[in-house]
Amino acid sequence: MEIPPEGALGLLALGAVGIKAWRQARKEAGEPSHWYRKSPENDDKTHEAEKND
Amino acid sequence: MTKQKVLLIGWDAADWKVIHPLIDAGKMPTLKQFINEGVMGNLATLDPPLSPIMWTSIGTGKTADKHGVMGFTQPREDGSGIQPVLSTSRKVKAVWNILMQAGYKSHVIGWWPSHPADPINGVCISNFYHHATGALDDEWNMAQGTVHPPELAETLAELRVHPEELTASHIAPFVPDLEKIDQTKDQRLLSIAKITAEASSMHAAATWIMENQPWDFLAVYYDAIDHYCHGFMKFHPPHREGIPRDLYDFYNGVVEGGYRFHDMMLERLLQLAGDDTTVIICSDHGFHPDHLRPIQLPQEPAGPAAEHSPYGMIAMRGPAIKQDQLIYGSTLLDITPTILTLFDLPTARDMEGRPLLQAFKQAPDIKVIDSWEEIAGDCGMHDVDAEQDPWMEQEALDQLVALGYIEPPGENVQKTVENNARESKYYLARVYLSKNDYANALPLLEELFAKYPDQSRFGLRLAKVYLNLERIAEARRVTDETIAVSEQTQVQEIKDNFAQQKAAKEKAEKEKAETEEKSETEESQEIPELPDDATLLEQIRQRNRPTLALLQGNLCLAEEKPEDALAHFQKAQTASPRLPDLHISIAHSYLKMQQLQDAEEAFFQALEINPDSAAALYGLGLVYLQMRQFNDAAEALMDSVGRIYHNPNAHYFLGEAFYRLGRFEMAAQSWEVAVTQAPGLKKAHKRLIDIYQRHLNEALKAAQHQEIRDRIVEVPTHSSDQAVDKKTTLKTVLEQSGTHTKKLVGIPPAKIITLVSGLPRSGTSMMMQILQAGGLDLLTDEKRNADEHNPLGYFELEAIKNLKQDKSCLASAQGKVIKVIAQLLPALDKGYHYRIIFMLREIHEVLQSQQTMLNQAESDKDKLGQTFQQQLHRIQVWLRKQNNIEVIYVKYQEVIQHPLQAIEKLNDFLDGVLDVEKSLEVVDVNLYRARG
Repeated sequence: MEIPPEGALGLLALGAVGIKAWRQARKEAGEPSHWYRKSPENDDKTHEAEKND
Repeated sequence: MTKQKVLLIGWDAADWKVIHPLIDAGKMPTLKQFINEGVMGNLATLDPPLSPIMWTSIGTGKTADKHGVMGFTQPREDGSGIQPVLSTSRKVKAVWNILMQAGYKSHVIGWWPSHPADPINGVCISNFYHHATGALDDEWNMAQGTVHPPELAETLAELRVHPEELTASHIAPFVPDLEKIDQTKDQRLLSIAKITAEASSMHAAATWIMENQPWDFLAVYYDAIDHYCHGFMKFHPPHREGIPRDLYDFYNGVVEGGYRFHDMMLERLLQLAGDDTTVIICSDHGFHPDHLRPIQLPQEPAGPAAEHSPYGMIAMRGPAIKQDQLIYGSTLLDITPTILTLFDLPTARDMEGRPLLQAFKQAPDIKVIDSWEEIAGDCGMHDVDAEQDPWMEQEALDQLVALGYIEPPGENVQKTVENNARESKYYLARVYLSKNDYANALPLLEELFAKYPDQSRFGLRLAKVYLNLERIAEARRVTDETIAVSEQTQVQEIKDNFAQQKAAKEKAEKEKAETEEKSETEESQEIPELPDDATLLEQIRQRNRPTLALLQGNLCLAEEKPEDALAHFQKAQTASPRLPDLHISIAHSYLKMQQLQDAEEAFFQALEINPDSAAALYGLGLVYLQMRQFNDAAEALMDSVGRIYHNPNAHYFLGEAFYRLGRFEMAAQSWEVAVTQAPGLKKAHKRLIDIYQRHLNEALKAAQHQEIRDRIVEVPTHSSDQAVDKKTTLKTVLEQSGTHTKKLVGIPPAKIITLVSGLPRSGTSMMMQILQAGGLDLLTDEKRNADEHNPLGYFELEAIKNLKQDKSCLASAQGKVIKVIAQLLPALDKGYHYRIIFMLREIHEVLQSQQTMLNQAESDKDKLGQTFQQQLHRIQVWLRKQNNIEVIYVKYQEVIQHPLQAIEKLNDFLDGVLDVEKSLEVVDVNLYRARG
């Protein structure tokens, strides 16, 4: 199944697996895969690293 | 143990009136197949139709007076304001707690309210889980207590979807022309993204649990349909006058899109559940999608609930469930008893619902116990000490403020908390009204009407209660007062608006004159002259005429003056022909005048406006009974109870129709339902005695009803639900009297703050005197003078009352003694070391003494006492955990009766610094005034 990086309602309806697959596709397309969460060490670089991932 | 799995899916506000056209158009294929393979029907809602109250009723099988969840918000325990309603407000077991006790593994996702998450044997995710509070680039932390067990919090937090993650691809199915919308002016697309992301978060959590955890029962709640509807039902086809055409064109597909999204999510849930699982989909109320959509919402708290319809939906599918059948007369109180029956567990007499037997292929064996609340063992509820009644906590707090022991909260906070308490009382009154329990509703409404005469909703409901109690004169008085106050309020509102407009105009003109930029062609808009008060009043009366006429007519009807009533109703009809319930009132006037055909026609007109009106069908049944058309009467009354099952009179008259048709078993069954719903319905007991004796040969049952009938008194009394065993709660504290543990070894006395604590009026002032006489240095400011309640003074420090906000006064208390009431102890600065002399006194004596001091009535003493005891217990548990605090519990009575013994123990606690002889002189038996 082809997963568009921009996502689709159908992927959200698939639940956990759909969201994970979409975020993976987004990451592979060079976009941030995730909303921002600070690491437990309060590492401000996490988000930037993710953006550039 | 029966191998059974049940999946309960909550779709807030889902309504068959929206779903059916979508199914017919092939737009909800999963639900279509689901109902073909199972049963479906309406699910009657409860009043007030507020989601936290109702989802708790769905999860417990009990109404709000029993389960304790009373609205969207509750006061904070520390009195600093209000907060969203919490799971700890629920006083009874939910179905997942019961199933855990029975050995089944349960998971609960997003139920409202469920924060903090219940410590059940499966996963519980609270209703705080899915709300994103910041932008995409902000941290998105999760509140403590959102996920149980906490070790899954990290995994589940990752699955949340942030609204700003969504793209045009997600929103286009709701709004195809989204690119034409100027989002700087119109925020509705963001609102759709938020609702969709939140539903996706809950769904992701539910599916992850189903994929990764074993389960017997799983409940998942989606609030999105309700939110799509509140935001966009006004744009749902058909287009209505007054709705801007361009907005309609953009947003007319949002509600449909929301339902289709839920159909897609349902498909995934069913895949994961498997065919051997019984699946129940239900909503707490419906949402008017048609001409019954209100044009204007009431300007009152929870006003948007006026958009809700009284019929939610239910659909069930599973191995034991019939296929492709309709079920009737279900209420949301029936869900929990039905789930228990599916698990072959007993339902309980203290639940108000019953299992939906008509849905089962084969009638299951029904077992009933008195109450699941009595069954001991771990059920995954929060510690009993954490379960609080926030409203009583607030009253306890108010009592402490009134007694002068803590500072009142700021004016705004106080107002907010007071408003919440007001709404809570109003909702509770409505719960009682919905159960025809006028005895309990009446004092609440009388109190609200007396305190807030400007709020017509209180007066109008109070008048209705008086009408039902046949106290017609009082009904008329309250109605007249309510109308008069309401008219004056409206006059004042018009005047205020006029003054505001005038001021704004003058300001604009002044600014223009100053800048001299006014063009010659530009003319300022004239504000029309404000009419005098009498003219304004007349205009308001014209505007309100239909509603006023309806009120007056109903009063006349209650006074047995149907002709006068009809005249009022006809005036209302001229002004507003489609006023809800008007035709029902007209029909009842005709019915009283024995103009049966006119009555029939008026009921039909009511049904033409609202084909689902249970009240109109009920009235039609009465007409047919009088016309002696018993088949038609039975049919209409069955249709009525099929829509709103809880209507004892409808069941009573249905019994009459069956009786006349010679169907005695059915008649007895209907009358039994009537007395179950309204145990005081004497006429139904009378009919049951007769039918069991004369037609069904059941002498025992006849005797039982005779006995019940003889016991019925005219005015029902308040029910008492003492949830806490007072003695047990108090004992846990009292048993430790005189004992203490040493925690402050090696701390110099000059660094230790000695506190005298306890409930106000538990002997703290006497203890301060003992310590002073014994040679200790007290820190007081003597701002509070001695009075007849404390003849030797209060020994207080004013600054301590504000301890929650300002702890600086503690610095000067080192090496000294200060008095702090128990409720303020958790606010102590952890940087100091404390010795606490905690005074204990029988709670009824404490309350008696407080009430004497405040000159209060005694009516709420029991509940207040319970709350104080629960607080004491929690504080004692908290004290045990503090390493910087040593405590000795001292019984007031022991000090009075055995002063030497008590003071020697105290001296031991204080490392022998007291002059025991001098302390002994202080104990004044006369202070023990509250006893006897």
